[in-house]
Amino acid sequence: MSAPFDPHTAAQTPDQAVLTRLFSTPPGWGRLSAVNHSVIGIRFIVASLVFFVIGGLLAMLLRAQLAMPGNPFLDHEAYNQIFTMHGTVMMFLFAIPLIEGLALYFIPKFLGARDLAFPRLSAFGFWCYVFGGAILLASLFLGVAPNAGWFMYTPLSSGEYTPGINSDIWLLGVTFVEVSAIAFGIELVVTVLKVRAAGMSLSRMPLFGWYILVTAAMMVVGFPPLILGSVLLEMERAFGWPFFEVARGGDPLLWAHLFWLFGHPEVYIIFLPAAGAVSMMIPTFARRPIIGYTWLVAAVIATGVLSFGLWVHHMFTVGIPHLALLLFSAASMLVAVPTAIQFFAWLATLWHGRPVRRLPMLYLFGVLFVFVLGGLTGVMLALVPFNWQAHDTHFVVAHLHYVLIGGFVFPLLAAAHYWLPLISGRAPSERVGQWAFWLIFVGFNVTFLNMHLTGLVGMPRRVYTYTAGLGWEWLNLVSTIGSFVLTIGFALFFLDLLMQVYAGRRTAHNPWQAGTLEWSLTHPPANYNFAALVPVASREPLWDQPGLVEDIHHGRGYLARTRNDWQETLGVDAISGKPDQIILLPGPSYLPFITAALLGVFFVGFLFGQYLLALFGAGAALLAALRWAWHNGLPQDHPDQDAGSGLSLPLHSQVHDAPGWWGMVIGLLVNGTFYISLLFGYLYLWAVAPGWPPAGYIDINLFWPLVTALFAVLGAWTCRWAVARGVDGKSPALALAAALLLGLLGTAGFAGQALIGLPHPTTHAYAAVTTFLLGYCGLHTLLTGVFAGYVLLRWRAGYVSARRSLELRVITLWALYSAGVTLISLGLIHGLPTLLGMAT
Amino acid sequence: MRPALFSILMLLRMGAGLLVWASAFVMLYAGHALACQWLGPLPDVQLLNPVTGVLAALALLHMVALGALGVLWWRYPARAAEDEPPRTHRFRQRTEGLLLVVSVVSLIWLAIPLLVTPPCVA
Repeated sequence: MSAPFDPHTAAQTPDQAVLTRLFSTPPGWGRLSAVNHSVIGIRFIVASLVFFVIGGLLAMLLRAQLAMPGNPFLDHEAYNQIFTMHGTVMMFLFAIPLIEGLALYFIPKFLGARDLAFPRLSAFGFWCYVFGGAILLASLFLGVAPNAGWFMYTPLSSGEYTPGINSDIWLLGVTFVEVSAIAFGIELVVTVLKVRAAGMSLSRMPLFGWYILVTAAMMVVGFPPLILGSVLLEMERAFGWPFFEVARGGDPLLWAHLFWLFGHPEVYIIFLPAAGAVSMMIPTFARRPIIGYTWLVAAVIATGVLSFGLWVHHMFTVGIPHLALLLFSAASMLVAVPTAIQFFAWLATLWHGRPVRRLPMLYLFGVLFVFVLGGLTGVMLALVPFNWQAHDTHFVVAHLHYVLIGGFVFPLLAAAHYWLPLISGRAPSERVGQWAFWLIFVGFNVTFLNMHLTGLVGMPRRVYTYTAGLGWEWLNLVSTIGSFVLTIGFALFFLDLLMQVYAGRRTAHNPWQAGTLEWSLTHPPANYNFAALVPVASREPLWDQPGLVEDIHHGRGYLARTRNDWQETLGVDAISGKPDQIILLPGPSYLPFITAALLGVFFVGFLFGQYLLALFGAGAALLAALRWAWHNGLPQDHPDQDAGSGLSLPLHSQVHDAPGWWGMVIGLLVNGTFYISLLFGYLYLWAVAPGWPPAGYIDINLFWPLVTALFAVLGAWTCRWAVARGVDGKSPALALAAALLLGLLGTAGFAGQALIGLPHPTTHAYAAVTTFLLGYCGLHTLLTGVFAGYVLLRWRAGYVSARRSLELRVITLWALYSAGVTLISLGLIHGLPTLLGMAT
Repeated sequence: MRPALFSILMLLRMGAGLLVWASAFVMLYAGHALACQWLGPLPDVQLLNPVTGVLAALALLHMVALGALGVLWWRYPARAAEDEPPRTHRFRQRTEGLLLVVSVVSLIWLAIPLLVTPPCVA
């Protein structure tokens, strides 16, 4: 029997040399222009690990302070800032970005692609994350870090009780980081659906693809409520618009709802990708395909949806009627079922396989033990009477750490040992890795297991000190000792990784004998991933398709030949995986960095009350984004191109379901969720806040609202008219010019209604939220006009033709959405008072 | 039908049961909250009362919708995409069915507290 083909020993072909050049990142300052998914993914991973170390050091300070009663090590203000930043750093700057980094790095490799659908969007997301994280981190060193807890409850975080810029830093810094998360969500949904190997139908997709698809969709739907809440709270703090202030018609519980609408799905957003990594590793070490693939996919989708119905279990003590508590209690228990299905599928796979004991398996044992304990205490906390007793105690702290470390950190420690040979080309040290595992495992349980008891005997969370004699002394001391053991374990883990990367022995090709596509690549992979995009016919192609590695290396597949210096990858039908287009990927560009930096000017300007500077930053960022978009697409039509293996395909800018179209659809889903959250806020305040709306605020005059609505609807219609003319090869100029004019007129209509038809927004929450709603619609109508004018310019420059009508269809989607929200908003503002008999 | 729209519809159909469940959840929670806000606390109300009746009707309505989806799943399976492997088509059909079962069970589970707890007691 001949030895298996090893791509490391094979010579590079001329086409591979060209691919290496095309996908390379410029050196020096040119690194700021990097867009390659491997480079951006690694940057995300490294940056998130730096934040993990920072968050860990903050935790050590907290544990040192609580080691003994009456400890003078930290004062209350420092303690408040440190625990707030510990939670914020771990959730927003470590966990989510680490997931983003892993997905950005691995998804194209798992799916058999050369890059992501929108490489520059990922680069933009990375810079937003770095700049937002830098704002948050700088505040820590300047002593003005956020200090109201990582969920920033109002009124504690409002201007009255936190008058400094501490809360503003959280609201603006986290929102900046969330721009990155939204970019990630759009990027990954479109990539998983459209950028896969030929033949990789939905049922042949690696499970990690499903997990990331669901996670990215959850981010698309889950983050907008928090972004809205942050914007509203910042407007209250900056301009006095009283969304959360009871005296002027607001309600502080609105913040809690908006925060936890994001906050609980966030737990699953963190857990699911880590569980996806487990689902990829278990079959390799069990040496058999996963059992219950369909059940796992159904369980992941069910977890994703059900997790949005649990948020009120964080608010069980705020005075909600019993029946509502029970609804959320029931839903909270329900979500444990699909989670358990995943565990049973993993256990069944191990049971029916021939498991091998390797280092990652040790960490997977940690997952099974720690996460199951966290899940069980989660079910306890879902029970209302128990929750009332344990609420805001150290029991909750212990529970959340069991869930997050068991469900996120342990799986990713396993994943690090599993995939690092692929990334670095070096083999891990089993012995050091085992020492690190046992120190982490023991240290973690010593820290947090008895912390359940600390909570049950009554110690509240977030207190900077306590008096002796309450029975908390030894419990806290043990936890502190455990935390130091845990830290030593993590230090050893990082040392092991560094030793592996810089001094490890070379790994063999596919050292674990895994079956998924990423292991067909060289270790480390080339910057273009696959020399040829091979068709796949199974979930574990390396097990079921002999000769695949050799085929890839020798260019026996699609797009093996380069042309026109284009960076190409395949686009496929979302369901069947049938190739339907060639996607031309953009090369390195400074524009993502510049756009993110200008957005940073907006956020920093706003933070320091320099609103003209902020306005300049926002405007400049929009111009940079338009400049960025200008060179997308092609200035002339092209015939279908030879994709290899006898297949000819159109270029992506000449097909209907190009990634850009999908990107706009998912972007509108983000936008729509933001809007629905806003409607929820509007209706919530209307229903809950006393004396809402105040007498004399409702004045129904339908003339201008009807005229404005007409402008918006006509704007959408003219965009559709432009599409009809464009695809017929006729000039869309008149239609686009009309859409531009209607957009400007509609904006004027909204501005007039907000400025003339309403009392000042600082006077009452009704005026504030209604003005905000009108502003939202006005901004969308304005952007419809701007986009129409922009596409008009691009049509004149030759970027739009009958075959290349993508941009016309994309702005039409936007215009239709704008018209839709206009009709709903104006109907609500003017129809609801009439319906309730409040109109004067 | 355009391939993109077909794909979106097929993906939505796979998870249609859960979308109905989500609608039920929102309507039951919002309906209950609005009813209690409007009527105020009802400490002495019996299990048979108008609020519970309306909420139970909403739950039943969603159960009927899930039943209709079940009939659709059984009688009119989702169409196969062009060149879709039969195994993928079966996978979509099975996943759709599993998610329908999850949705039905979840809705029944959610409706139990509704039927055994008086509303508007804080």
